[in-house]
Amino acid sequence: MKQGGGPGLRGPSTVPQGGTISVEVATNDTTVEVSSAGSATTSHGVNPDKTARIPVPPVPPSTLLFVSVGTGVGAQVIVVEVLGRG
Amino acid sequence: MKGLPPREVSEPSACRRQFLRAAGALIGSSVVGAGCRTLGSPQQEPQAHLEPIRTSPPPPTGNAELDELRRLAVIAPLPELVELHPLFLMLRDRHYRDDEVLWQGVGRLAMAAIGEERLPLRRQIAGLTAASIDHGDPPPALGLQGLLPPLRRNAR
Repeated sequence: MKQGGGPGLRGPSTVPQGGTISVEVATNDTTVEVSSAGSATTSHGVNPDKTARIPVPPVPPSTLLFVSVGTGVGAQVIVVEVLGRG
Repeated sequence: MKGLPPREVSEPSACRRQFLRAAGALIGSSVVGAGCRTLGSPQQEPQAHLEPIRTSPPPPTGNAELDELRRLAVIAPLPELVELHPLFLMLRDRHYRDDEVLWQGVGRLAMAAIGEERLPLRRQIAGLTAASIDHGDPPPALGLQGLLPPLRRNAR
């Protein structure tokens, strides 16, 4: 699975509907935030091993999710596309 | 039965140039304030979206994060905005949905995704800007709703 991101946050570039987004967090952030255009932002805890497993929110296929750690212009962001289950 | 003569089809590139001129005029005509370069002139180049919209920074807001995003939106060279587009679009969507200056940055990215075939991450930028426009409330004067059909085509 193609990985996206940079040194602070790594994760997949696509994920199936109903699946799980697995990310690796290299910073000291304890939460990962997920949102899509127009939606509310949800927060998910980072495990002690600096990974997080985030359930894909109930969005249509082809939705592009922002997955981030950190705040402000220093935040690390990856974009994850939700694929249809078919 | 006699066959019909072939229908003339205009060059795709000519149609695209006309579209970009019209869209650029719509976006550029909303720019106001000192130090702004108007993009909506009749001599508008089809690649005007490659240039910054302003030549001087917008007035400071007192919010350093917003000021930096506004700089990216209208001052920064397009390659810089493209490189930082996930951060820009995410922060705009999460915290500054109604900021008109940031909507101009969305417009720059959208125009680039439509007009620049070799734009890095073109499909992603097209998808993200389309989603921003679709789920947001862009200023009508920017004409961003009119960019949705070509953005959706480029996002496939």
